[in-house]
Amino acid sequence: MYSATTFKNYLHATKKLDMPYLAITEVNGLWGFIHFITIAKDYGIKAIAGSNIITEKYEAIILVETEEGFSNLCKILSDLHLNKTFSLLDILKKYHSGLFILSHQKYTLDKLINIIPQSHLFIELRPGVDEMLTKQWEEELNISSIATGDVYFMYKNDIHTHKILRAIHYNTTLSRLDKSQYKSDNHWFRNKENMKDLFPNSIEAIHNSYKLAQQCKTNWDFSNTIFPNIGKGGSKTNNPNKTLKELTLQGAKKRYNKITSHIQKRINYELDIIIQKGFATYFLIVCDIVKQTKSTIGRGSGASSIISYCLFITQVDPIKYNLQFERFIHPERIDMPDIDIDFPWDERDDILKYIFNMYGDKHTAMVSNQVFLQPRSAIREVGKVYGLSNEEIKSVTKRIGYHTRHRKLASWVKTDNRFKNINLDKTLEEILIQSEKIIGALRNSSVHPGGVIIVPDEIQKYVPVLKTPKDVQIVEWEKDQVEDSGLLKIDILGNRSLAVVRDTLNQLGLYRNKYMDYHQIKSTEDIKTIELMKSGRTMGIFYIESPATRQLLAKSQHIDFEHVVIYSSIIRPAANRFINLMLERIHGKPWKLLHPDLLCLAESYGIMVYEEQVSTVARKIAGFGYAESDYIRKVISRSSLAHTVPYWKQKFIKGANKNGYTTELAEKLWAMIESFSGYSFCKPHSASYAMLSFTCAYLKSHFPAEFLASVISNQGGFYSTYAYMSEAKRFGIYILKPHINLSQKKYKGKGNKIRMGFMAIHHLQEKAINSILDERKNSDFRSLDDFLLRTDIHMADAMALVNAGCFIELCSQMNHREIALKTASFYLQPLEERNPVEIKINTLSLTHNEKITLEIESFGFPISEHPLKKYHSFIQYRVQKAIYIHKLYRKKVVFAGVLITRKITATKSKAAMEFVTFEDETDIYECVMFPEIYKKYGDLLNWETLFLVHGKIEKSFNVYTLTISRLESLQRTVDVKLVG
Amino acid sequence: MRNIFHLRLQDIELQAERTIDRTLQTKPIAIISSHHDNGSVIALSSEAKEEGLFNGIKIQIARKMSHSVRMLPYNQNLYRQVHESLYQTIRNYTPLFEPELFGQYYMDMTGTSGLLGCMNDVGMHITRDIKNQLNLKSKIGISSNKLVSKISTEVVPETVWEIKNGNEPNFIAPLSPTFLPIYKEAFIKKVIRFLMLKSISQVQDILKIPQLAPIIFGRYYSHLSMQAFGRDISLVHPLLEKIKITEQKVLSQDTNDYQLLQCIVRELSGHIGFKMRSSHRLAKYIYIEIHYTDGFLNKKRSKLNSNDDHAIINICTSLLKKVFTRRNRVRSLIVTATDLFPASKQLYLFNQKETKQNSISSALDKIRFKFGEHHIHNGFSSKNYH
Repeated sequence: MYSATTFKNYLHATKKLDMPYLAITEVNGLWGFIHFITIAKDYGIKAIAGSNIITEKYEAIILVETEEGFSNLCKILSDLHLNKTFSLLDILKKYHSGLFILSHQKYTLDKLINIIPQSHLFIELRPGVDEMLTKQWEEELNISSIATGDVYFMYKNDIHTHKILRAIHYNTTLSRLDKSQYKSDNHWFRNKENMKDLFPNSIEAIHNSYKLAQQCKTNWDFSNTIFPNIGKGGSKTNNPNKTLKELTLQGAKKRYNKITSHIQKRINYELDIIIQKGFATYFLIVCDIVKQTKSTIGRGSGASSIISYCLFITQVDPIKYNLQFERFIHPERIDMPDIDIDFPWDERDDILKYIFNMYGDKHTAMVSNQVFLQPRSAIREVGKVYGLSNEEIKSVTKRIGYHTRHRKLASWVKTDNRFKNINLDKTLEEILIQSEKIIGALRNSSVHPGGVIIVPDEIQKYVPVLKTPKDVQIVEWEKDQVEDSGLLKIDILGNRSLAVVRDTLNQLGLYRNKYMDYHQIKSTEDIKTIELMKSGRTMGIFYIESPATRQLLAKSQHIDFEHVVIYSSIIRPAANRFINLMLERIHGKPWKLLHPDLLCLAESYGIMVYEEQVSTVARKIAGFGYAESDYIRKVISRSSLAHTVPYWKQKFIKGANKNGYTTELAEKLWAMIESFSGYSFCKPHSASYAMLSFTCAYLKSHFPAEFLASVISNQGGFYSTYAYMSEAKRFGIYILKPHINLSQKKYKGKGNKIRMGFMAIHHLQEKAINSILDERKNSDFRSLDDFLLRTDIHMADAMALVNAGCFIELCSQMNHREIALKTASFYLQPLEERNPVEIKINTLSLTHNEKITLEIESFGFPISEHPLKKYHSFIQYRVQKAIYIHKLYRKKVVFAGVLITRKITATKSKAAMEFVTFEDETDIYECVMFPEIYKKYGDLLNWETLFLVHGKIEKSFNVYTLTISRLESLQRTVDVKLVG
Repeated sequence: MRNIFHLRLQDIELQAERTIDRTLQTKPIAIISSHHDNGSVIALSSEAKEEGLFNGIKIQIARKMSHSVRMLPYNQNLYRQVHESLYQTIRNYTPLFEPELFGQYYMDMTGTSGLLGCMNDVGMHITRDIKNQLNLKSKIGISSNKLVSKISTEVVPETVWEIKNGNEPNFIAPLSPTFLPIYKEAFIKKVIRFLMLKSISQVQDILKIPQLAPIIFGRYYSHLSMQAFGRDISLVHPLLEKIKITEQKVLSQDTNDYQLLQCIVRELSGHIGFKMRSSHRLAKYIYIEIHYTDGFLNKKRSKLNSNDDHAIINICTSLLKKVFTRRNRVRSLIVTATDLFPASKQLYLFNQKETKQNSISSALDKIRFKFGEHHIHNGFSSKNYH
């Protein structure tokens, strides 16, 4: 971490100073190179590729002269990352062709003079280097000097920010930073005059830098896609086109009972385009990968391809659901779209291993994830440098959302009510000011969740690679840069719900002898499934479990596959106003299209819902070509392109006017287009996911215990484990605590019961669980003594099992304290002499409160009773019950509530507000806190879990919500009343 | 049979302030370390606690939370006077007393019943004397040992409470195991919590099983046995001459600036050196203790074989390097010289450097004696740090 100055800042300054060239030479990498050349193009600056190689012994700047030089630079950087014994001199011997080398170190130049031709080797005259010395070197080595700025920041007084970044990098404090670990204040961005002042005796060196720039490569073109074009084991395929045709036909026979002429026509059409564009091998590779597991789901635009459907890459029939192939590939599209596939999350790593084994390190790498400092992380890192404790840092960051876009942190914290209880002293203010400056700086690279690149020849030819600490090979670039560079990636992503489906079906097979095939489940016409969705009781169901979606399903009362696809696509942060409009139309309000030419919007009630509708409208109304209309959806969704939105808006409106459409219509359509900012989905993607939603809903409605047990076991859902357990109880399911002989690692469901798994027990190690399960394969444990003697676990694990009540049923004649005593007395003996001790002592059984305390300690929440039960005597006459919310419309109420989930959002005028979900003993209910109330009480949700919720019941499309007027902490209210 | 008194004056600082200023009687008050925003609350009245304040809270936050709490700075002089007066009162009854914490004292009254009468009455007299002389409320617990006497003043609301000899186990039986000093041991805490032993009587029940208790409690068994049955053979140690010299600095602004901390440590060790030389003493050990803002503290010690500034400062700065290992900000630093013993003036016939260092220290001391300790300080002091 060296600099917080962005490419844009540097390019802006370069443009202002009328300098035609700019070289960004990142330390030991080309981390942001593709971004750099994209932005440079916008500014009309010629971008030079290069890197500043810094090793323990040698330092050199490498600039690219030719295409071959770029490949060589990628290989050099790869070697730097991968080779522990990296030697700059050795690698340059092999890969110096097409490169210019500069160094400010005499001993480096002495060595390089024998390797690099004199025409390509230069002395680097940088700040801190003596001009006179360089002149001596010029004579001695007979090579020229190049003056460089060795720039690390924009302005001289950015030095403090630079030091903070270095302190973050070294995980130290400012006062402990060594001088060798940061640059002096001499390394700022100079113009020509400043350079002359710096090096008054080296004007020639300054001119030389311009001459060198002219020789470097600047005509970058990454429009060609690099196809894998290899078969299994890395060898070339023989006739991939033929193989693709054969496999497609085989798959079509399985998918369709009868291949009609319509189906055949579609297959032929797609095959023609795929083969013409040379994409056949890519499909074959993906098909091979998908075969490695039973349950997968192809997402993204690939779901609109019948070829994908026939190859079992995707699960949605594009003909039945009217999915347009052109969304995936169209005749004008030059770049290849990615095919994204979801796998059960716990099988994903095996799939990746398979790919790497099959295609080899030489051809394969994962896409990286470049982690940039955001407001929360910036404050955390700078806070650490300044020595704040973790609690002090958390007291600020806890109030900041992960996706906040605020940049002026100091003024935000001073003015926003959510921070009113923070002690804003001088140090914290300084921290906030410095944090603002480093937002956007690259923190580190990690692995993208699933992007894999396969190339035909050598990946290091195209992009530098490195290995993560877990020994995964990744490229330096993240997914946007990979896409823009022409590299083809396959997204192999982990999906928890696929694992939920798999585990549910496994349980049905194991415990009910009911074997079902994932691909054969007919969920979209199942009545019970549809009724469940209508009720909005879709917690745990993939893609449609958020409070907003649940409410939308309940409000619509119109459930079928097509509508669910629409609902899951329209739930976007910026699309709220269109949701209500759609609901009105679904419920019968007359409507018509904004213009007869907007037929593409007819299926979604005249509202833009899918990404391809954006493209279609852009083509139809504004006359954009395929490529431009495709690009527009990238512009809207990517924050890195947000600065170009005004340009595209103007272009859209002009185009519309040119085609005879009014500006008013164009602006209305553009407002819809802008609602796609942040994220959005194409119809095939939503359709794919909706299919999985239906499958999950089917399983939940027919087998709720098995389904919810799988949801909890696979974790990572929208809600907490507690929330899902509550949902299970609302379905009439009994929760059974872990049992030493009956529990598995995961939760398991059968009929109307869920048995908690060992994974639910806090502080119980995985190896202890494995040890117990292994030993149980021999036979169940007959008694506590038997368990103690047969298992080899630590005392802490044994204590966790005891506290979780795992032995209560096995040792029915003993109470908890006796079991604890027996266990402790066993483990506290020396290892070699351990024997169960006879316990002859009268101990008291646990009181109810003690039992509940233990449950909370073991699982994080009580199992035997609802958290509100304890306050029953206080609340029973003071509160109403959520199950009767429909009888309390327009009335002022008080509900007791356990916090389930919350979402901070903003009104149109950017005032913070919040949606909150609570539950009481009877039901779950949705609340809204408008800005004034949020200011007063929003902070309370950070610290408390049990509440008294005061407010009024409202109704919208027959769905009831509570508008909060006051929020109290239940615990504190009860304490005060008791003391009073 | 011993007669050990434990004298407790609850919230003695608050009582002292309220004695001086009667208008503070029912008001919420807090004793604070200093008026700096960085200062913290040391003691609180019950009224102040009801407003949500707690010991250790930062003053800036306390001010925001409660506008009505009166914040009084730590009045060292007043409390020292109170302390001295208490000593006088206690001395009237026994020469053998041991101050434990400020406001808590052990008194060994063994053998005084013949002179002073019934122990219960003696206890009442003591509390009355304190009330009459200082207008402070106190309590006395009487038993055969320090442990039970102290517990008695903690739990019994009566002014004087005597636990008869032999009744100690029964007295402490219903109390929570947290009252036992050994509960501070992490292992004991863990075992007691796991076994869900809610009272000392439950601990006693287990201790009564000879084949079980030593296994359960391991090496703590014998200590725990003593304490759980109310036995304590520790003596009342009389007030001894101060055996350590301490210098402390609470920073006006928390910092993690290493150079600044070095300056402060040098200053503090300079003061220690001066005090040692003034009292003609050497110390066996020197400690550096560092208190971070999050409550964490770290402590290191080193041997000391000289009392000249140069040696002490060098040792302390190297200790600082070892003790300041976290990036978190520091709230205060303490330097302590312990195990003091008389120093004999030593001439270094052959070690010129030592002689020179000693001479410099002596010369500086002369200036300090003449003009005051704080009238000369080194260039490295925190006052000069930028």
